Amino acid sequence: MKKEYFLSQRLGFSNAQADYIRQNGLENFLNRSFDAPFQEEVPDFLDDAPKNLKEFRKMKQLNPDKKKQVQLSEKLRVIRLQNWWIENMYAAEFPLREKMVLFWHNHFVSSIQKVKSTWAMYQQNALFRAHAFGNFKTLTAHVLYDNAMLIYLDNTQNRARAVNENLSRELLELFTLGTGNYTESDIKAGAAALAGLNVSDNGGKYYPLLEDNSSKTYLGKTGNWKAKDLVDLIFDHPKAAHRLTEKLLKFFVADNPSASLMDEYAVFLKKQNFEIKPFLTKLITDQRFTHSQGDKIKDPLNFLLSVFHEFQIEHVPMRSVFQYLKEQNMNLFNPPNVKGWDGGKTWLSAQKLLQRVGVISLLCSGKNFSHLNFKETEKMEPDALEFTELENKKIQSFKANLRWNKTATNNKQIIEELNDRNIFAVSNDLQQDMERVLKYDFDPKMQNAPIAVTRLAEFIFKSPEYQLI
Amino acid sequence: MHSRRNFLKIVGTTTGGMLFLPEFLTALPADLYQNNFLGNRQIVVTLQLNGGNDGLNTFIPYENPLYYEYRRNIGIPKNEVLKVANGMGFHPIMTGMHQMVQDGNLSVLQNVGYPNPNRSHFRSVEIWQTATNSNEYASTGWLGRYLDATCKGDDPIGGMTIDSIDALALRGQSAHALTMTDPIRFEKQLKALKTGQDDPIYEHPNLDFVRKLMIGSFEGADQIQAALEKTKTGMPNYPKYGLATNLSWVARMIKGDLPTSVYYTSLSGFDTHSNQKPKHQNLWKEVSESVKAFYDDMKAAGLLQNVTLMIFSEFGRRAKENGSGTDHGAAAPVFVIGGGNKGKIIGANPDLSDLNNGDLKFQTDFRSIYATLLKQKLNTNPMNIGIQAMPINGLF
Repeated sequence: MKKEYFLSQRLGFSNAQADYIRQNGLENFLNRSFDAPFQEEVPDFLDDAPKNLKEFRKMKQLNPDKKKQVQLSEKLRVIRLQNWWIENMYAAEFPLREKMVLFWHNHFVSSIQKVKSTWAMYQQNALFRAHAFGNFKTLTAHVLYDNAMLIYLDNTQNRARAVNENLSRELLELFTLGTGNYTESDIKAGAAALAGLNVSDNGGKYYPLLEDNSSKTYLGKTGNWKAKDLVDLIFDHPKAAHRLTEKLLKFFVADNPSASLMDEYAVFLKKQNFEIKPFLTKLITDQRFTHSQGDKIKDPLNFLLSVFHEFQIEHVPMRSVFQYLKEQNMNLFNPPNVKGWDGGKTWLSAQKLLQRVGVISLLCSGKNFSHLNFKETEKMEPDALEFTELENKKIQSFKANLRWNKTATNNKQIIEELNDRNIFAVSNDLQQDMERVLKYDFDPKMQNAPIAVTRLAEFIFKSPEYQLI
Repeated sequence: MHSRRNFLKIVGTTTGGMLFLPEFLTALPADLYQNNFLGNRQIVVTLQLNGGNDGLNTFIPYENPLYYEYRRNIGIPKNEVLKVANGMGFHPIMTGMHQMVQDGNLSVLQNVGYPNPNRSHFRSVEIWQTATNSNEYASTGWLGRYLDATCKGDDPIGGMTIDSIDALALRGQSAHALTMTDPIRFEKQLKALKTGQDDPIYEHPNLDFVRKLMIGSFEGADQIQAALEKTKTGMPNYPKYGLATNLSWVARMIKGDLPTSVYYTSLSGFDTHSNQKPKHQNLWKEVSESVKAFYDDMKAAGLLQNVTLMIFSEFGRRAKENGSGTDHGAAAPVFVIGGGNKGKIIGANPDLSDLNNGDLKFQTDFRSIYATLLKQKLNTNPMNIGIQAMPINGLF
C-alpha cells in the first residue's frame, strides 16, 4: 500500500485524502486539518427535537398515542443524526477533525439509549467537534457540564443527601487516571463535589439546594471542591496523560502499541500541557506511526467508508448503514457500555467477518444496501413513510462504480493500482492469485473489462489482508 | 516468511444473499438439497486444465500423416501411442486414462470448442466458465446459475471449488458455493478454532487472527468437518501430486456424504509455447495418475455411477508446432469419466487438412456438453440457466 493511502485511512475514513496528502505533504494536510472550518450549523432535522426542560415535561404529559408518536420521531432522528455525522466524516475535505470527534465519543462515552435526547447527544457531539484538537483537560471540564453526560452517568441523581458515585467513578477510572491511581475515598469525595451538578437548558449547573459544601479530601488535597477543582487536581497527577495516550495510540497507530511508545507519548502529552495538536504533529512524523501498516484491524466504519470510496459511492445510505453498524457493534451514539468500543480484535468475529464479506458481494454485484433486511425500521410507521422517501432519494444516487484507471494497458498495472490503495502488504502468493484472477492477457479495453476488474476487487476486498490497515 | 497458501483460505463464491441473517453459523439440515438420497444422487466434478492443453498430443491422430508433418519435433511416434480406436490414441504417459477407456468408463468428445474462438487465456476461460457466446459477457458462471436455480434457501455448499481463487464457473447471484484452498489446514485450523487453541505459527498476528476467523465464518464448515471426520480412515493412497491431493479431498467430501453436487478444481501449466515435450508429459503424468486414483477410489466405493468427472481446457493449440512448442489454438478434446458414460469416442477425428488459420475447427460446442451434464446428471433444464445448446446423444 502506498503511504498516502495508508495515511488517508488512518487520519480519515477512506482513501479520499490520499491525493491531497501526496500533492501537499503530510504536514500541510495536518495544518489544514487543524485550521479548516467545520460543521457548526445545527442540522434541520433537529428543528423539531425537544430541546429544553419545558418541552420534555410537555412530552411526558401527552396521551399515550401521541407520546408514542413523538418517541418514534425521536427514534428516527437518531438514525438521521448518525447518518448526518457519517456523511460529515465521508464528505469532509479534512476528516481528521471528525476522526477526533469519533475518538472523543469513544472516550467520553454517552449513549442515546439512556440519554434519550437527540438534542443532548448532538450538543455533546458538537462539543467534541469544537474541542477536537483542543486541550484534554479543558475538554474534561466541559464534559462534566455536558447535559448528555450528566444524564448518562446519573449525576442527575447525585445530591448531597442521596449520593450517586457513577460520574465521579468514571471520571477517574475511564476518563482520566485509570484504576490503581486513586482510592475509593477519592471517588466518594468526588461524588460529593459533583453533588447538585445537574442538567439545565444551558448545560450543567449546580443547584445550590442539592450541593454538598463540606470539605473533602480528593487525591490528597482537602477543600470544598467543585467539578472544576476536581479536574485541576486530576491533571496534576503524574499519571494524568497515560490512559488517554494509550487510547490515542491504539486509535491511530496500533491495536497493541508498545509500552515504550506509550510512556514516551504520555510524558510528551503532559509536557505539552495536554494539548492535542502537538501530540498529533509529533505522531504523524514518527516512523513508528508511518511504519505501522497492518497493525490495526479496520473498524466497521473505516471498512465500509473505504469500500464506498473505492466504488465511488456519493452518499451514505441511511437505514442500511445504521443497520450494518448496529450488527457490527459500532452503533454511533450508542456504544455498548461506558467503556466504549474496545477496538482491535473485538471488531471481528466469524459472523461479523461474514457480514463484511457479504457487503462486498452486494457491492461487487452492483446491488446496494436496499437489499438488506430492515426489520426494525419497517415497523416505524407512520413516520417511516416519509423516512423511506428520503432514503429512496439517496438510494437513487447510490451507484457502485469501481475506481480504476481505465487507461491501464495490462493486468499488472491494474493489480498494482488496486493493491497500492488497498492492501497493506502483498505477498508473492497473493500477487500470484491476483494474476490468476486477472490473467496476463487480460485486455482492459474489452467490453466487460469493468466486470472483470470488479472481480479482482472482490477478491482483494474479501482477502484477510483487506481487514487490516 | 510463511507462504500465504499455507493458510487455509475460504471465500464464499457469492454475489450476495447471506447478509444479516440471524443464524450465520448454524449447520444446515441436509434436506435442503433436492437430490439428496445417495442412491441416485449425481455429482459432477470439473477439472480445468489452465493454459490451453495441446489436444493433438493428448489424444493423438496417429494414423494421420499430416500430424507427423506438422509436428516433426514434438510429434509422438506411432509405436508409442496408447491406441484406443479409429486411429486415435493417448499420449504414452496416460496409462491410467487408457485403462479407464478399456474399462468402458471414459468417453472422449473430439474437436470441442465454440464459434469465433478467442485465443486470449483470460477471455477464453471466461467464455468456458460463463458459457456465453464469444461476443457476449456474463457475470455469473454456468454452475453458479445452476446452483441459483436448484439450491434452496441459503444453502452454502451446493458447490465447492478447491483452489486458491474462486472459479467464475460457480459464481451465482446467491452464495451457494465456497472455495477452499487447503483442506488439510482447514481441518486443523477449524479444530483449533473450536477448541480455542492458539496456533501462532504464522508471521503476522493480526493477519493470522483474521485468517482463522475466516475459516469459521462460512456456513457449512460443520458439515465439511463432519464429512472429513467420516473419511478419516480407510482412504486409499493417492499419488503425491497437488491435483491428486485436491481430488482426494473431493473424494472425501463425496464419501463423507457432503450434499455438494458440483466440485471444481484446476491444474495450471498447459501453456506450452516452448520445450513442450517434457512439460506436457509431466503434466499429463500428474493428470492421468491423479484422475486414475480418484477413479479407482470411486469405483471401489461403488460410486462411479454417481460421479462424473469432466476434463477440459480453455482452448487447444495450433496444429503446427512452432519449433519446440505450440501456440494458442482452438478446438480440442474433452474427456468425460464415470457417471455411467458409454465409453465412446464422440465426433470425427481432427481434420488436419481443413484448418482455420492453422487451428482445428470445432465440431461440438462445449455448451452441449454442459447441457448434457445438466440434463442427464444434474436433472436441470439447460434452458433455465441460459444454455441453448442441445444435449449430446449417446454420451450417457
